[in-house]
Amino acid sequence: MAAATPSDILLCLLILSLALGVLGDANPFRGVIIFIVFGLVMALSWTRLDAPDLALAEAALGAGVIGVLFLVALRKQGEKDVSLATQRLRLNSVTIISGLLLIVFIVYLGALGVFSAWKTPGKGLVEPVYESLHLTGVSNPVTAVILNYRAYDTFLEIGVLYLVMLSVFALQPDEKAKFTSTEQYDRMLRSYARGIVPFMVLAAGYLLWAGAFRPGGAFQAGAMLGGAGILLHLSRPAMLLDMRGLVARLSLVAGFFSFCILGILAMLYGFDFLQWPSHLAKHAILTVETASTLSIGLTLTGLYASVERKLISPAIFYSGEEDNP
Amino acid sequence: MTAHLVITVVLVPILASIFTLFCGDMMRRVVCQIAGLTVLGSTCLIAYQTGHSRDVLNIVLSGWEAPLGIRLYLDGLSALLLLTTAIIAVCITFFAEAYFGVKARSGRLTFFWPLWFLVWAALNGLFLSGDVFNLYVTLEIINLAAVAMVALPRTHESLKAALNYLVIAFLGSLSYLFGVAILYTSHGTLDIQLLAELAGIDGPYILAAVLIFIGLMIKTALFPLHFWLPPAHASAPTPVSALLSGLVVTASAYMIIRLGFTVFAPLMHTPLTLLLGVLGGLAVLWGSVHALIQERVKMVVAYSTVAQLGYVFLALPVVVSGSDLAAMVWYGVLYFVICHACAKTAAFLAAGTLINVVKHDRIAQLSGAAQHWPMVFMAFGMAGVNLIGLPPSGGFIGKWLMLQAMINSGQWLLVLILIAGSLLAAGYIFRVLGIALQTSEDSRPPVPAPLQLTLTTMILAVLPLLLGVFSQLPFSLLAVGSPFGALP
Repeated sequence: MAAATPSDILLCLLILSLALGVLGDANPFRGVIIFIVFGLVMALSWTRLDAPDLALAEAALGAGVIGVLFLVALRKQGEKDVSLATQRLRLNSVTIISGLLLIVFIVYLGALGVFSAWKTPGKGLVEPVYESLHLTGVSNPVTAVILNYRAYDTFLEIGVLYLVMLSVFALQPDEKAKFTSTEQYDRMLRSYARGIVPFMVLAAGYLLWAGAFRPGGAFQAGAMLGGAGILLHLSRPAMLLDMRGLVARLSLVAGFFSFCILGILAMLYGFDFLQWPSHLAKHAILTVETASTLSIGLTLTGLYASVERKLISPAIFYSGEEDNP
Repeated sequence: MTAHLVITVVLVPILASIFTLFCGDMMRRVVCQIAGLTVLGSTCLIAYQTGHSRDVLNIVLSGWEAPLGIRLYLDGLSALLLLTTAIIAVCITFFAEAYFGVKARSGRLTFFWPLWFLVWAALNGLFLSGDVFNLYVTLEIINLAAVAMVALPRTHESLKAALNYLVIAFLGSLSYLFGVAILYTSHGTLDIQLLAELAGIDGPYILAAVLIFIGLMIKTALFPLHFWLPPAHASAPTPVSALLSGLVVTASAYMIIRLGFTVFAPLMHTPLTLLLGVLGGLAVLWGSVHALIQERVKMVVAYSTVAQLGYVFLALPVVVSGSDLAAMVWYGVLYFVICHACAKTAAFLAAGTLINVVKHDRIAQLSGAAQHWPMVFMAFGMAGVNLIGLPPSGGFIGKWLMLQAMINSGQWLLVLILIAGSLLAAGYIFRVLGIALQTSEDSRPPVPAPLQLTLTTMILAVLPLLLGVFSQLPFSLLAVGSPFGALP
């Protein structure tokens, strides 16, 4: 491992102080802004660790989407209950446990520093991953791990995304959301979206394709597609309103379902579950990646859309709404 | 062929989850029943084959052997847990069908079904997993889906409970994941069997163990970290409460036993287990006392879960005193967990049936209810027999094995806690039954309890008793691939 440069140390200190800033700031709005900055600095540190694909995901999801979700949630909160916005960090069980975990974390860092001095570094799986790379159908080792060696994990992870959208569906009230009149939409935003969205879709396609030989792949492409979806949604909400419609549902399960189908096909032809025969591996991986990109992009858009439309806004906490099954 | 059969039990619920998202009401019911019965049939076959061949099975996925790929691992323990889960899950499926009734035919409650089948798939995946990271993924699916289902009623309490549950479950996952990361960096593999061979006690290993156990203790709601469980379990709709208390906590308890006797087996012979034992003891006493003073049946049952999970940890200090006693603890704890899963589900379903007919579950107002709904209280009582640990229930056998191990190793304090816990359990069960069995002058004709509700409850209440009487078969199944061989 290369020695840490002063800029690395600066980066670490920055991350720590930003994290403390997020937790400690009494003003939630400032907290959210610091959180977005924190996400960007995290993305920077991933780049420093030679993981540009993680950096991309962190910037798009950690700073972008989550930041926007927080801001929207905050706005709803502000409408509903102002006194909550000034609440300070309270000493309850959750903060106590986070504190405990922080202590464990610090102990871990210290111990790792002590032990790494005399412990021989573990071999890891880097060598075997490269040895079998020519059989996986892709030349990017990360994609090979995600979609070939450990495809089963990714299958279930795509299941988690599907699950997130299911949870949103299950918590939405049954009545259809009301439209606000179209006049209030920003002309500027609309023309901007008109110009940029096609390029974002193109970029998502490129990221998806590039995943085979360089950092990229379904998750990054999905994040890009999600960004495009959110932009579209912001400029013309009517278009993406009914996330529970049939087409939306089909696209949401596309990734998960394609994994199932290909896995079953592999078993029917006498291979292991989710085993791609090496001459077909590239096609299989591309298929599940394309389907997953669609699902991920739509899930992110749907998450944003549901918060924006007050469907699962935090406001329901305080309205005491009752519709017990 | 068996490999395909084993993958079926993960795939079929996943496909059912996807199909129920698209089906109309009639089709959905058909899909639910077919999927449920298919999985039940497959698990029966798996259990039979495992018990018959007496071999553990390693199933390679994606064509890559460990450490590069992931493999599933099927031994007697996994097979028995798959079977128990399938029986409980089929009962909950039929119960939920009748419990939600018309309300779940349209609108947002229909999304209960995809969520439910996804949890079932993840549970099966978890019991089969042979990989520490894969375990994390399956556990994550279970927890996220559980959070969504707790929030289903959308009342103030249920949303608050769900949010608490979400935060605490994430803390647990984070801690677990950290431990996995340390294990991987120091040993270069995630496969449980390979890790168990490589593991030696050094600094990173102990840290990984501490982090992983903290994570799992949070998810199993061990004593100081239990506060999220009762509100979450009690405020959810009844089928969900039953699922949470019966199956979800069983999953993390299983992981503790699985990892504790493979990857972290060397640590089980150190005084670290003493700490777990003390916390377990406190959980037993704390949970039982709180169950005794609750005002609602569901809260009693939920606090009882906190207490009963304490027993999983209570007996661990005995493991130090030799492999014969360790074997008794291993068998005892696992049998106890399996019977608890059935009995706890039955107890919640009984409470749910009651809510379905009386529209509340406040104990004080249940006076004379047993006259009107004798079967419901019969089921509750039989589940109670197992929770207390009276013979002839399976819970008794589990506790008896633990008790013997404790006595033989001379841990008298643990013996006292176990007995006190059982007495307290008798207290909170009989308190509910005592009030319900009073004669009341209320002569209004009672609403009959729906047959589908009573029947599923009854099946699950009888199951632990059967497990107590016919314990030969499950024990011989457990012995397949057990770290200790057959029970001494």
